[in-house]
Amino acid sequence: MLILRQLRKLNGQQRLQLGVEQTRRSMADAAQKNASFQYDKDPQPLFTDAETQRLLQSMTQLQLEKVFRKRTVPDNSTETKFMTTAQLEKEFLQTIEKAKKLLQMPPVVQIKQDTEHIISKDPALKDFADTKYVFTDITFGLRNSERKIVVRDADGTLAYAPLETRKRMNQLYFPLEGRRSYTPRMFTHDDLLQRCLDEHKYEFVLDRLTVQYEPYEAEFHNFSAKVFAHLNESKEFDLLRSTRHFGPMAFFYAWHRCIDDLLYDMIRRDYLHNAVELISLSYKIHQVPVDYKPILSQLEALKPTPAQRALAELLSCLKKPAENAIEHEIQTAIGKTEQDFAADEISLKFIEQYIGSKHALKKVQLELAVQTLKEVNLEKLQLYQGLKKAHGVQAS
Amino acid sequence: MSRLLFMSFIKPNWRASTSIKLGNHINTLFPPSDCTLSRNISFFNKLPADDIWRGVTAVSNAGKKRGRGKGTGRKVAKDLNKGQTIGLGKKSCIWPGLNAPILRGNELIYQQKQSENEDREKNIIQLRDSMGNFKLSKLNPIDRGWSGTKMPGRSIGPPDSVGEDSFKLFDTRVLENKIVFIMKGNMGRKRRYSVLSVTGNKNGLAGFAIAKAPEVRTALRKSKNRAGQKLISINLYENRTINHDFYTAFGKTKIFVFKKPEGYGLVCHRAIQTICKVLGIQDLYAKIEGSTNLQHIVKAFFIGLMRQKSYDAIAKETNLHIVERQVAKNGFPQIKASPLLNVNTSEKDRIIDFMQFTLGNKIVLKKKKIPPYFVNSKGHNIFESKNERFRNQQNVRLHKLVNSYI
Amino acid sequence: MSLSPASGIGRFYKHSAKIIRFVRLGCTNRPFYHIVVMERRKNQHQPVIEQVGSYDPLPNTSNERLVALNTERIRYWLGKGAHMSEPAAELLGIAGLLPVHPRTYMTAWRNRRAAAAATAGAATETTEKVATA
Repeated sequence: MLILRQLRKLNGQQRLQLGVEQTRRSMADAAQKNASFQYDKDPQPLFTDAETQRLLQSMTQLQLEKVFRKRTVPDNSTETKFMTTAQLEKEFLQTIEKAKKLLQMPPVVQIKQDTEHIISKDPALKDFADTKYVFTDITFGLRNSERKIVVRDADGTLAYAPLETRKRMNQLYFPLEGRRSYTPRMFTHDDLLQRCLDEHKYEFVLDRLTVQYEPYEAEFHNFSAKVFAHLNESKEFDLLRSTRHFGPMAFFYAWHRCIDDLLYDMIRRDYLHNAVELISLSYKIHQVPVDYKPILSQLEALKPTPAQRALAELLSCLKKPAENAIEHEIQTAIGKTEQDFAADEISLKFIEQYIGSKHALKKVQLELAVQTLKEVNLEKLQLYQGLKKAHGVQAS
Repeated sequence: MSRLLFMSFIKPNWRASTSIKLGNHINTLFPPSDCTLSRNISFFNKLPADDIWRGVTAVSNAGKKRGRGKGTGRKVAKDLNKGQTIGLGKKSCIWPGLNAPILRGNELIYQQKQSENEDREKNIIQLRDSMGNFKLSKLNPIDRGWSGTKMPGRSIGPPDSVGEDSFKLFDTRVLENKIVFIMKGNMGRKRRYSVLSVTGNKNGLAGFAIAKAPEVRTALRKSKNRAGQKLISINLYENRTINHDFYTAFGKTKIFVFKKPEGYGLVCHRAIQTICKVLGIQDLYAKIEGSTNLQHIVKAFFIGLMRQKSYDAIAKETNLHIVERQVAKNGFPQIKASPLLNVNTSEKDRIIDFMQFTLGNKIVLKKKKIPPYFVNSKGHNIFESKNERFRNQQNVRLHKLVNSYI
Repeated sequence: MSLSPASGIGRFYKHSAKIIRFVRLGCTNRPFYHIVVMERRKNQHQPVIEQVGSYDPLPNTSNERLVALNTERIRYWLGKGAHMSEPAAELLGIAGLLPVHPRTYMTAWRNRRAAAAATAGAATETTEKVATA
């Protein structure tokens, strides 16, 4: 009897140990999985760097019809106004500024860790109440980050509130529009989020994520990583182009060395300068000893920034057809100018260099894309030159 | 009812008899000598049922002229006497002298029960059902007019085709249907029906006409066909609303019409609503000031529609760009029209307001709403202060519902 | 007329005695307090000079009691010589804005004593039970 009991005991312990080990292993797996998508060091200095921002903005592009697309709002009224040309030009400038503001990227920063900061410990105050007390300073004009929120524990310790409590209190007393006091079900139920992703509602998920979480929260990182990973598989990058999430997405891929799918998409859509920028960003992040700066500056000289391009597009409707109307018409018909052809040549060289290097992972696919693009470009160039000659336009 | 008929069935020579005692006795036919005579004659047993009913429900001639009792004249009830014969009831009995002869040969017939006929009730009910229900013929709510069974607002179909021109996609609606009188030298007051109707194809083509005729039907037909001959083409904005706000007037009727965004609907006088529906306008607000004479409203509205300008014409006239900003598009300025000449207007030039321009510098009279009498009364104040606690309750409930949703 | 606004419309004399105190709002079985500044002589439901915070005495789902304090205004009014009601002073003491109120220490001590007595009572009961068994 005794032996049996002992045996059982032993078995139980074994099982217990096994269980512990299993859980430890699965946790480690999960951690590893997560770790592969975590920023191993603080990405903020690299992200907020002026050059990186410029690259990301250029990659995001500024398609006016997408930025100012019709959204579902309660008020769908319109306002009709008379405007002089000068007023209209001013209005266009303001529109571009507005678009830039709408495209402002949510920052990519490190996950903030909770630090315990005890103000006072008073053992004589132990058991003064059966619950905690949370005190929020609601003094007018303070920012959420500088507001003092303290907690008095039931054992008499007075300490600064942890981040989770801070967020809750800030939301309670100074609610942010759109942020909920409860976690949206999308972020609590995996299947709901998965459904959103499968329906390619990436922008919706990311918008909600940005509203609901602060960029330094772990949830923000996890969910955005999940969305970007799904996006990398579905390859619907165009859905995020001209939205505020394209920059962080490109940065994410560049950081985690998986830019090839995005690169392929860019080449296929003939956004060669964007491809160059993406490669440069990746070089910059991983400090690859390739000098990308001269090529970038060359491209910058040839290609206008997205904002400039959008402004030109807006202003074009104000201009009357001028003398070089034919040349302009040819350009619009083909969709490229001489400068574009020159820029393409430089970018193609750089891209091919990248494909040849050890950093490219999907070489065959990329090479094929580049080859087809080259052929199309050649055809376009021939057509362009032929048309110009036929219309007797002087080569400028 | 059956009793009533039974009474009227009784012939005059029976009237004197008081009560007929029916028994199993032969004496029944001859009243007993101690019977007292009484006068039981009244209109109730003198007149047939139909006459009595008419007396209750009919309207006098003078009343008819004033439009009283329009519902009468129609048969409202079923004739419950049908299928029944006197002397035969639920319990089938032989009543000598009523439903059977008293003597058969030499034999006296006595009152006696017969086997019950079970089908009798059933047959009567079947007969009553077959008589049909006298229900008012109901119109489909969509086909109903503005009010009740009246014509205005109702559709009378497309105008008749003339030669090869058919009005297939058209729909005509009556706007006004009234009686008009004129004095004639030899005939005196002559009365006719005047009908105003509007026809349109729901795609910017519409016409209206007035026609008079001694009969309603002819007046309707005439006005419908005449409207089909007077079509006016009107440019619609996005196929759903007017080009721009405008002010229009006819006589003492002034109308301010406003262009509205998608989904706003037609918020205006019912006549204007009907015209808009026929024209294909879906979103519009109109405010009428002054007289609301229907013919004037229709005329003023059509004049206004016709006087609309295109954006290009306005831009040409004012030498200014016309820009439209939509809230749903984050206020993106969309150029609707640009002037042909690029005239440099200086900053000092006063730039007119677009709405002011299109309304012709007219301003809508916006009357201040008079607050109800109870505002600022003691009781109302208490009510308000008690209810203020619950001002957020509905929101919170909704929030909870959303939260608990699985 | 609606409820008097929490931002304060109460009239007051320059030299009258002011007090920082609670105003009980909420409803039956659900207290909720506004921390307000008002004239000392006034009834709690009269218009206040200013609201400087709120206090929810019922613990929330995370087992916390929530207090909001406009510390800037509280310090202003204290500097002006406003009095403090005892519950308000206790709360500010717990918050660390003022020294802890002696009464809080008393409550704490009493609570601890009651808890100790309870555990001791439970212990003796079990021993008694054992003894009888």
